[in-house]
Amino acid sequence: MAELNIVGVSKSFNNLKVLNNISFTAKPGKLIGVLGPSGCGKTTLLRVLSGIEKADSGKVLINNEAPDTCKHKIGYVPQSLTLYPWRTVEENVLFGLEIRGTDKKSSSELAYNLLKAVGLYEFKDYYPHEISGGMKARACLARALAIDPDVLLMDEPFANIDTQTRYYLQLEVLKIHQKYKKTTVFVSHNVEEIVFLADTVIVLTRRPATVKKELDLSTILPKPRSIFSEEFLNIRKNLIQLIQEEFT
Amino acid sequence: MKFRDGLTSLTSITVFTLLWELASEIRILPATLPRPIDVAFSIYTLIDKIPVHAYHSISHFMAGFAMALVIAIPIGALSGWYHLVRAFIKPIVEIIRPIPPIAWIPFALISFRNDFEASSLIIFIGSFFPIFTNTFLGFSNVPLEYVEIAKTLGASDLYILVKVALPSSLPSILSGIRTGVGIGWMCVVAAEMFGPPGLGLQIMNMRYLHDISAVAAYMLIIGVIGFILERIVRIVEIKTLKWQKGFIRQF
Ligand SMILES: Nc1ncnc2c1ncn2[C@@H]1O[C@H](COP(=O)(O)OP(=O)(O)OP(=O)(O)O)[C@@H](O)[C@H]1O
Ligand SMILES: [Mg+2]
Repeated sequence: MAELNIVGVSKSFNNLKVLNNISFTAKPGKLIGVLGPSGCGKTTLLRVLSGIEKADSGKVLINNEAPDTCKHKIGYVPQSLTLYPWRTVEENVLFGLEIRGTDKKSSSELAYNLLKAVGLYEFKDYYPHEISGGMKARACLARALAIDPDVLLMDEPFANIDTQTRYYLQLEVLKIHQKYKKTTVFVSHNVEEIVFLADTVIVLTRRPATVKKELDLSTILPKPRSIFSEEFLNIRKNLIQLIQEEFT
Repeated sequence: MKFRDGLTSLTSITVFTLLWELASEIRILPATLPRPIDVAFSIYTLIDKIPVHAYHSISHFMAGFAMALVIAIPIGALSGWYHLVRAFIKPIVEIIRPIPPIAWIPFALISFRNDFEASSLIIFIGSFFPIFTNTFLGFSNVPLEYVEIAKTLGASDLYILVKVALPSSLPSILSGIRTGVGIGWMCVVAAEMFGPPGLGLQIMNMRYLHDISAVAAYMLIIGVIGFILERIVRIVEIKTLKWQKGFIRQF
């Protein structure tokens, strides 16, 4: 379990300012839900957190150190749910372990556990083009978890998945979060999803994104949550209003 | 399904042969042209010589083609992947590429005393460029996201080159190989017309004997071998690319 600190991160592309002085902390084992309108810079933020993109100013710290792929392990679930088409589901899930040279026996054991945990075991020998969008999301999650990451970053993994499946996937994310206790940053533009999952909600403004509000849900809305409870609906309403302010 | 396709192909060849025979019979085709039956008879009389000549041609082809594979794939890969290598290699390739393989024949025959080496060079030139170009395209079009995913999982640059860029480029490389086989095989015959023993030389010899049926017989053999070579690459393609969406249906 690791603590993730984001301190005054700003990022521009050419003259387009995308992230503006973003700061927040993800406490070890907590699930941070980042809520922001479409196009505000959510993906850019996660890319900076993962180290793929460099911040122009400010810094990202994992356990008070700069992120380093040798020292830290980052599990990243991309918005596109990209898997390598030439690898089966199982081979995709195990790619990170292959890179690290983990021996066959312990990685196949881990694959078994993970594929069972995300409910993909029956489909382990399928190629990505043979599975559904929901299954791709599960496979990407399993691939990210396989390396036993210090930090798990999820970029709207369920954005293009029907509401019903989405609900089950969200339940699974909660189960997996409880089981593996990964420090997680989950990004979404879907308010309900964030209220359902997050220990802490970070609301971003529209581009250039900055933190508009930080809201700790762990005490006011203990898990497991019912999406029909009054508290849930109230918080959802407040957050929707906050986001709507961004467009008026 | 497979059986029906095979039957259709057999029918098409039979119909073509019958039409040809018929066209000769009713004199639509000039009498100087051989009939299928003449070609068949030529093949029958040449049957003990054909394997020897085919063997020569195939070994020329294999030597040139193998060399093209071994050189074109690494160079294509590295220049598709690294900008600096690309900037270095591209001008050389771009200037040599427009020279048709046929134009190399005199050059090859003078510079190599040995016929085998000379004809292998022509085949090398013929198959090199399609393999190089397609490998280059494959490596330069690797989706950035494939690379980034590997990076977040902690892969080194070399690991990404071998385990991500290479498989991602494989469809393109294989289609380059298929084109390379086709062009290389055409070059064998062209190269052999000017000296080295093989099917190409046999065509020329038969021409001097004015034996058009034998010329056609050798042409047919060349066609059949070319077809088989290309089929082999396709089978390799189907076996290696079974992961590709909708791939099998293309064939
Ligand atoms: N590599 C890049 N080069 C130039 N501009 C970029 C780049 N990446 C992102 N941007 C710009 O940054 C802005 C934010 O993009 P980003 O993808 O981070 O938004 P997002 O919040 O993830 O959007 P969505 O909800 O649609 O996923 C966009 O205006 C986009 O055009
Ligand atoms: Mg995004």
